[in-house]
Amino acid sequence: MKKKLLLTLLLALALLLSLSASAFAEARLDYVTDEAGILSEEERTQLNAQAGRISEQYQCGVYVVIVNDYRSYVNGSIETFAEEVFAGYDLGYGDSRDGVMLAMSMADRDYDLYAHGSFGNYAFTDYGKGQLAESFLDNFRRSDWAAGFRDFVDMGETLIRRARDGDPLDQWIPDPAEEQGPSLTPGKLLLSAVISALFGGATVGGMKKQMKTAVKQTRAANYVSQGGVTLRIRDDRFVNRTVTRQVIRHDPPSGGSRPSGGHFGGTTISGSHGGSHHSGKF
Amino acid sequence: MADQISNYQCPSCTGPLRFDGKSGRLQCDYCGSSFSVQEIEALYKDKDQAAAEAIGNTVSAEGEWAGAGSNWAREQGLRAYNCPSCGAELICDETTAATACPYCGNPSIVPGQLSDMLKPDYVIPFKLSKEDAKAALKNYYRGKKLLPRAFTSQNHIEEIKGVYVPFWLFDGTAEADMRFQGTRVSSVVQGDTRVTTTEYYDVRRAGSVKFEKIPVDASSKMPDAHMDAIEPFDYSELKPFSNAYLPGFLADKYDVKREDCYQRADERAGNTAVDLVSQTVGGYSSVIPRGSEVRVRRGRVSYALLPVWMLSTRWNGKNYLFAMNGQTGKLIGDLPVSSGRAFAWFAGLTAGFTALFSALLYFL
Repeated sequence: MKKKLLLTLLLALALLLSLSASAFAEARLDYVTDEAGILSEEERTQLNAQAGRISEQYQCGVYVVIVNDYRSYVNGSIETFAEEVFAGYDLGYGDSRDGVMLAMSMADRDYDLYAHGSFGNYAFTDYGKGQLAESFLDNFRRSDWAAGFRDFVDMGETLIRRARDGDPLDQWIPDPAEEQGPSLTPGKLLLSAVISALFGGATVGGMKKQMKTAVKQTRAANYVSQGGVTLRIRDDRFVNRTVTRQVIRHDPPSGGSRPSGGHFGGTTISGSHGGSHHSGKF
Repeated sequence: MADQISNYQCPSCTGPLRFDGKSGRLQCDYCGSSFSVQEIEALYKDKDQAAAEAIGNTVSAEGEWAGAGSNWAREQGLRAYNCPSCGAELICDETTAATACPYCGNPSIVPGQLSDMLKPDYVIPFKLSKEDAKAALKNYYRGKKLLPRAFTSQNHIEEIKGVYVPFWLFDGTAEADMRFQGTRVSSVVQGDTRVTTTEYYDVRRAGSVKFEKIPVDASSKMPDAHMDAIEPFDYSELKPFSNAYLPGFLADKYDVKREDCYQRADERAGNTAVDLVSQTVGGYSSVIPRGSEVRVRRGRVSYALLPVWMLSTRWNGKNYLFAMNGQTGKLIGDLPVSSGRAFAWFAGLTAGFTALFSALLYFL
């Protein structure tokens, strides 16, 4: 409750008095803040420690802020809320305040992934944010909050590590030759000719069948007595069950040039505070 | 010696009578009188009886045919009768039960072929006429895109005849005991993993299906495929057999014994039972048959004459035979296929589809 009061007070001050982010420099926010109380204290502590370790190790903050209703803090969208919290608490590392924040509002099940700073945006590309969202949304839809946040933190670390190694997870860049637009290659022409020949053959085959109607009967359905069908045994016995698990390969989008933030109905936008968003419903 | 052939004559003018399918009465084309089947039956009962007995008497103790007919006819497995109207000698197959005199044209019945043990239980009278059959054949040619153009223009009906075809009608019950493997597949996505669960079931269904009057043609002269393909007949119009339905049409007695037809009826009943019992298996993603036992319990067998118009044409030195159900009008028969037309359609369709698919692929 103390934290909520603090958060509310600081955000209200930031909005009403238009103070700069530095005004909150003295205030501190945990890596994982749960105003909605959906995590146990033990879960929150563990996640907080893990996020802290990653943030310190890679110098890129990883944050989770969960509130009951973001509209209690800001007049605007969930994206505005994320931006205000990030700026208000002076989150992030380094000169450009690098970091990523998962903001969640339970009232209308809104979420926002907010990447900030030059390295933050380098590590969390639009495609990367989409993939990151996919990693936790399935858990959130089952209200398995702790597992969802663990997935967020784990995959967040993976994305940061890849970026530090110079290989950020980014969308597939199409071959320029494939960006030439509509075209009819010999391969396409051959494919359409083969398919067409099959269709043509099948149609002519159907026509030929019409020419031969003197056919012996092998059934006698017309001669079944009224009510003459009796089922004596109807037995369905379960024998066994097999379960297979297959890793889904994420193919690059065919269009190639658009951001892929649309997964699970999420949207990707660029923020006005040196950050970018991926938001939606969980 | 009594005549072996009955010639149904008009009681008013003694002109020949013929059964008219449209009115269901016997018609005299000379004086226009018509008579019900019952009236003619009553009038000719004694004469038919005498003719049937005459046939029996002509077979001597040695199994030789006596009376009318030549030795040649006997050697060929044919029978010879005298037309009661004009006295001409009629040479018929040994199964012929109704025919027409080629000299005077009078319809003639051989009652002995369809009496006592050989008497059919039922008959479905002709409802459709020769003109109906001709019109149906003309209609049958329509819309057949692969039919050679010359077939319709040069081709003429060579022969058209209304025949009461002998059929065995089989009752019975088919029992099917079947086993299947059923699978139910469900799939959920968990993170980056698709989890597919497949459940396997042993499925068993056993049941019985009762059949009534599965028809199997009992004439070796009639192609089985043609007789099967004109089914079904409407059995609600089955009538107790009477010779009075025959004048004006041809009729044969059976020459394929019922024992030789059991297999075809059993096969049809068994297949249908398997179909119907299999259809009760539902709710699975896939069903694989694992085995089945089918048993047919045979029941009553009836003997019936069913109406069929047979039409034959000749084109390019080849005969084409068509059959039409004389009750329902269903017409079937194999037609020639023009190779040129088939190729033209194939090429045209392929070109059209290619243009369509190419246009679609252009944007992909």
